Amino acid sequence: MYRLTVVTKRYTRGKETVDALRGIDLTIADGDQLVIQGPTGGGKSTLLQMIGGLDRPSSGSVELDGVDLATTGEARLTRLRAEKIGIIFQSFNLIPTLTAQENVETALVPLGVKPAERRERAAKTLRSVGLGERLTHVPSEMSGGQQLGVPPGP
Amino acid sequence: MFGIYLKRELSRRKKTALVVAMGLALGIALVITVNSVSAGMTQAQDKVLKSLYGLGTDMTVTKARSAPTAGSSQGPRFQFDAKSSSKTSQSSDRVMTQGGQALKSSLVQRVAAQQGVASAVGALSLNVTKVDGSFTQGKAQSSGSGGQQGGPGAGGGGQPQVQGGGASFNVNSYSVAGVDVTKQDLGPLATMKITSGRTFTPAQTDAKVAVVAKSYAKEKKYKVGSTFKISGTTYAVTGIATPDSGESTTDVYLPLKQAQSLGDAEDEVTTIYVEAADSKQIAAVKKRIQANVSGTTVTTSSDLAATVSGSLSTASDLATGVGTWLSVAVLAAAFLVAALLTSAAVSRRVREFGTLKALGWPSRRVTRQVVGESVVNGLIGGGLGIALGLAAACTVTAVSPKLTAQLGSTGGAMGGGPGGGPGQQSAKNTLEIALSAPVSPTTIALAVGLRSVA
Ligand SMILES: Nc1ncnc2c1ncn2[C@@H]1O[C@H](COP(=O)(O)OP(=O)(O)O)[C@@H](O)[C@H]1O
Ligand SMILES: [Mg+2]
Repeated sequence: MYRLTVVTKRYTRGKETVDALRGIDLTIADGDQLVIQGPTGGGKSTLLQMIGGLDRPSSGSVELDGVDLATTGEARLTRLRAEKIGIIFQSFNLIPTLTAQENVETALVPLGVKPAERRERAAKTLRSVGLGERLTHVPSEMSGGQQLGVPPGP
Repeated sequence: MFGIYLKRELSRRKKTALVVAMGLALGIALVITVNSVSAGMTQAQDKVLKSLYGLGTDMTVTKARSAPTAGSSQGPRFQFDAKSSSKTSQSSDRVMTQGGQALKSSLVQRVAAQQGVASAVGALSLNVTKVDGSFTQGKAQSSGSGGQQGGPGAGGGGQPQVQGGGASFNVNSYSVAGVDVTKQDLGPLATMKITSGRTFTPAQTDAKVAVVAKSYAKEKKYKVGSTFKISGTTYAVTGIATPDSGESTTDVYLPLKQAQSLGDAEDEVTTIYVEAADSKQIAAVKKRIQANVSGTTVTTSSDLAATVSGSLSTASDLATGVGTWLSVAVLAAAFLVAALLTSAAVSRRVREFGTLKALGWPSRRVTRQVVGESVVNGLIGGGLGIALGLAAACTVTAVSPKLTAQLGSTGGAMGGGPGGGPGQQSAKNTLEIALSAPVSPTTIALAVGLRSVA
């Protein structure tokens, strides 16, 4: 579960400063589904970056199962991202030169899954979202909707 | 994943990979080519020097140049026996010491006695100009002074002189070197290899025998056992010799005493060949000889190298100058292109790398992927470059472009002196050398190393 306490994020560009997040308190229990809504530039993406462990807040803490993503080391953070966090980006962000199956496999690589099992699991996942026919296609050969189905991994 | 990702990147981005690899290949190939060609140039120059100097000759001692005297500038004179009714052909040899400047033989001992000199040997260079004349109707005038200059046969003295009339002449000149038969490992014969017959024996100090350069023997159709005449003296060919490298600068070798009497240069030599005891002391020995044996010019092989001119020297300058700069420029350009493409590729792929990091790829795994790509690209380019460079070097060696080298053309110590007359027209100091491009492992290592440093 997630527990965010007074999370702030301040961007500075030259002399200009933007307070994208101002003291966010938020708890997300396991199994919860949460929708965040707001105007453009309201700080939604910034908040997701904090939760996803892709960036660190300026102050406050972002605890995932008791580990504070704001202060934990880079190596541990990387491992947490590989093991516990799945992200679908606004733009699809697939590796353009890899096939759909290989793209899914990239998510399993840092977990140390053996190649044969990796291939098997990636294929199974893609079949489960109806992309069984597209395993060997590269992203440019798939529709936007199909591309969206690829990244979450297992 | 590493391998698959790598393969996918390289095969799906063939054009970029190819440009980077080709740039690399071109750079490496050029460095190899330029390097091996200039090594070939150096070898060629060495060959030129070695063919002019004996192996083991560190320096030569010649007479210091002096202003030409009035008498020495006169051209050669030939005298013919012209019987009024003659239709016979006659010939005359004009023998001159090369450069017209000789040293006393005793100087050989003085040079040899200098500290740091291991060995010294004297040689006499002569130019023989042979004129064959055929007279249809000689207008003769009686003259009592004929035969003085070594005319046709000693017995023909006091004959009338030709003053004109219909005559056809055939002039050709060749060079003769008188060598010390007791010390043949130093001097003009040292760089020659006997290919047929044998060389002089140490006892033949004044024998009427000759060793003939193969090229000249071919021209004259001389064989071992053949005889020919110089100024009426008959010599028997005992051996045919070819230079170890390059072309022979001397056509006929005779025992020193024979050459001295032909050239009317008793107890004289034109060149003293010196071998230094220590090759590092050459400059010091040169100074010592010049100081202690007055009236001499000492020429070391590095002095001689400075006088090399002609296409070899031009090509050599080109290879070391333009070639080096060209290869550096191409290498730099290749580096720039590779760097630009790599940085373009990286910035194009930040998003891709961000995704991988978001998926939990450690930074070093991402870095390894990128480095892996450029290493493989480099290997392909490097391999291609080495192949290309070797092919170019082999082509140069196979084609063996002919280069000529002139030595001492600006009047160096080896050249003919002023008023040397026909002795100079034989252009004996012009050599033709085939260029090769030897490739050494260090050349390749250098090229590849330069490239990977870049
Ligand atoms: N990297 C950044 N540097 C500077 N300002 C940023 C950066 N990312 C976002 N911002 C600013 O922070 C605010 C919130 O942006 P964002 O979280 O992307 O909003 P949303 O996703 O809700 O549209 C915006 O004003 C945006 O300009
Ligand atoms: Mg946004």
